[in-house]
Amino acid sequence: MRNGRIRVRRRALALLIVGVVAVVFAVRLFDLQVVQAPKLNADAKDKRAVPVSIPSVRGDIVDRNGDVFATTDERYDVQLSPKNTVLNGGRFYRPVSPGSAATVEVTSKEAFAEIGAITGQKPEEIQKIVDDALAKNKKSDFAYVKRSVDLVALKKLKDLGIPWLTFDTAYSRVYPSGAVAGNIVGFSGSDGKPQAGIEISQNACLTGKDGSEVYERGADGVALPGSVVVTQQAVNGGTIKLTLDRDLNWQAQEIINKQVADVGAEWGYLVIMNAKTGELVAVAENNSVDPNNVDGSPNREARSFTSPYEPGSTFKSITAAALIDQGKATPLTPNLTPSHWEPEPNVQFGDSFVHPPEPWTLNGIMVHSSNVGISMLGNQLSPAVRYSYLQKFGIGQSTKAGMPLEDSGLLNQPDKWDRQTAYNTMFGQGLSSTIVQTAGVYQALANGGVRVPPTLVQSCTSAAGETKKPDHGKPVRAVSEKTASTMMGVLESVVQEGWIKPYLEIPGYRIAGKTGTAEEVDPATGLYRTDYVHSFAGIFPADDPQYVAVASVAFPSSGDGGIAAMTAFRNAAEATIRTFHIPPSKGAYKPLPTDY
Amino acid sequence: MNSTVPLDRDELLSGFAAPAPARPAPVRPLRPAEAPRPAARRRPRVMAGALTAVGVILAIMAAQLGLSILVSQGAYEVRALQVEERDLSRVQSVLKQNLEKLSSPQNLAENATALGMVQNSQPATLRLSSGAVLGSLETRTSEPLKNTVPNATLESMPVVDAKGLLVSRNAAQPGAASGNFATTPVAWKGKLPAPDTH
Repeated sequence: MRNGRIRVRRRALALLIVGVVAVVFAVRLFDLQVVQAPKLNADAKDKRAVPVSIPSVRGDIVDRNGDVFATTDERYDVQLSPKNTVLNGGRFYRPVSPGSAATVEVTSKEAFAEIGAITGQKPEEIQKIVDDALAKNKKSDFAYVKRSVDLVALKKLKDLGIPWLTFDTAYSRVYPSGAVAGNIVGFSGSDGKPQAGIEISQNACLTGKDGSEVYERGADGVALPGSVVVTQQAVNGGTIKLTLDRDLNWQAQEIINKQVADVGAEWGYLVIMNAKTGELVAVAENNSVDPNNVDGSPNREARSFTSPYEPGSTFKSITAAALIDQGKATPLTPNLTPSHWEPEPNVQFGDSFVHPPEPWTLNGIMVHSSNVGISMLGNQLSPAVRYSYLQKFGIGQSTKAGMPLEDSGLLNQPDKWDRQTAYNTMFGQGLSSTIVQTAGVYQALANGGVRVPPTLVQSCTSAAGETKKPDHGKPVRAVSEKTASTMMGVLESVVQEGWIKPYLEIPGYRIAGKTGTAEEVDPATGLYRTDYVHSFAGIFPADDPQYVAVASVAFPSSGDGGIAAMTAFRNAAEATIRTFHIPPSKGAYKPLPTDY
Repeated sequence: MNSTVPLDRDELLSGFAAPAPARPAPVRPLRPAEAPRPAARRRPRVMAGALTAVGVILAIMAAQLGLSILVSQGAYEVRALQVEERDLSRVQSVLKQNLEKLSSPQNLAENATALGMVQNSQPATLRLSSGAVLGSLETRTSEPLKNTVPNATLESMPVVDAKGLLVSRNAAQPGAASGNFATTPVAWKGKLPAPDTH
């Protein structure tokens, strides 16, 4: 009986213990599963699940034919773990050859030399990176060895089989066309942030949207089957298509570089514009920046858009067009033109050469580029009327071609013109314009009097293939179609009747245009300089205008800047004719009398 | 005739679940106990059932194991293929960018100059409708301008001269900074043209 009782007690005790343990477990289970569950789940997910950011790739900038100006290159940052380089006395083992089972002992020093041989660093430099990192923090687990190495180097480094060497993808911007349109395309910093040009102005289109992905992975880094959850797909940036033609732009840069060098000029610009659409097919400036090597050039801006200057006689075309449009003159209107004129007390100006009073027509005044003549005739129009024509030709208003900064130039209200300025504006002084605005003036004359705002950015095509065209402004009628056609005759006559003809001849093609020799204010003194900006603005072919080109060569120190500008124009016209296969002119030039 | 049939409740109940104890125990005369033959007969059936159940469970587990191995093997395969795809797309983009560099106007112009090509600045054209030649057939050619538009991406790339030799890019441009490659011509290292033997 005693035995039985003990047995019963024992059983009871065991049951009690089991019961207590069960209760403890139950409480703990409840605690884990219900009370602490959300926190534990979150913690566990962070341990297993690896959130990975999927970087988006910045879009390309291409020319009108799809040739690449700017693209994004995948580069690789080489990193090491400083604390692991000194692990095991600075030794590690790696396979004798990739994939072989036999291993060989390597010291960190040897590894530094091997890495340095590929990255172009000295072993001591890498040792210093490690030492510096360890000096700062003994447990340092991260330091860059070299940033932005290429794929070939990456493969070689990976083949070294060094356990503490890791790699990360880094995108960098490359410009395969170098300085071709470098002024326009712009560049970005080493951090990938855009710093100039289209890279800035079209940043919204070019920038993609980074994605993110969360997956759970095992100890060897392989994703656990079925655990990949793409939470956000990356969207790459869009492609910007410019109106420029890469090859023509290169030729234009070559042409202006040569002319600027030949006459020792301070600067030179050359732009070529489609006469019908206002599209800029080439925007060239001397020594423009190579975006791959920004430090190598002082000219980092798109000076064609940001640096207005007084245009000079190329703007006589505006005054002449206004006179004809207002019915105040025809190309045959006579005017006895002296070489010096003082229309009012303290207001005086002269022509570029001394001559007796000449019986010139308006056409003759344009051919001889007489400041006095154009002012005597232009004086029939009030400053307000002339101001309105300047505005219709796009002067004094920023273009919206697609650059981050497009200067409006200087055009004061007519009531702020002093008496001298009121006359000077008739021959392109006392106001300023960018070379693109000047090209716009001739585009309007070449296009039947309708000025189409200049365009540089044709479209933005998103990664999904959606194309958007930016707004560049509405076309403006500057003068009537008849006036524009009359002006084309005058401008062809300027080329045919003047001394400039031999410098502009292209066999088979009729050329129209106007020279300009402008005085510029020296910002240092506030006075006009004694040397000039020489320009030629022209239209070709004159019988069926297709393109407008303007060349400016500033402040030559040796040689004739005027001839340099005309040569640049002619070479540009030849290059444009070759590039776009422009057929030769039909018909012949109809002479317009210069004298009466 | 009445359609309702009187039911005997007891009879009905006994037909459904007749609990054994409810029945009066059969009167058994004493006799030697029989060997439980029916049990012996039933045991193999139970064993077979148990074995089948265990077998099925094992089969399910084996299948699951197999599937799991296949799936995780697939995960490795997927990863290997993803890595391969990434590597190939990297190679492709490097090749594409090399092509872009090589097709840049600077490279073409410098190679053309090295080959001794000149430029026909005013080409003549043939009008197909009339068969007329427009422009002069003896138009002027011009020496191509030396490339003055820099391109840092081309620095280490040589150009091919008229003899088919790879020469330094900057050799053709006196005054330009010399690169870190040999300035003397080096022999062509690519595939040589095969001799036409019979």
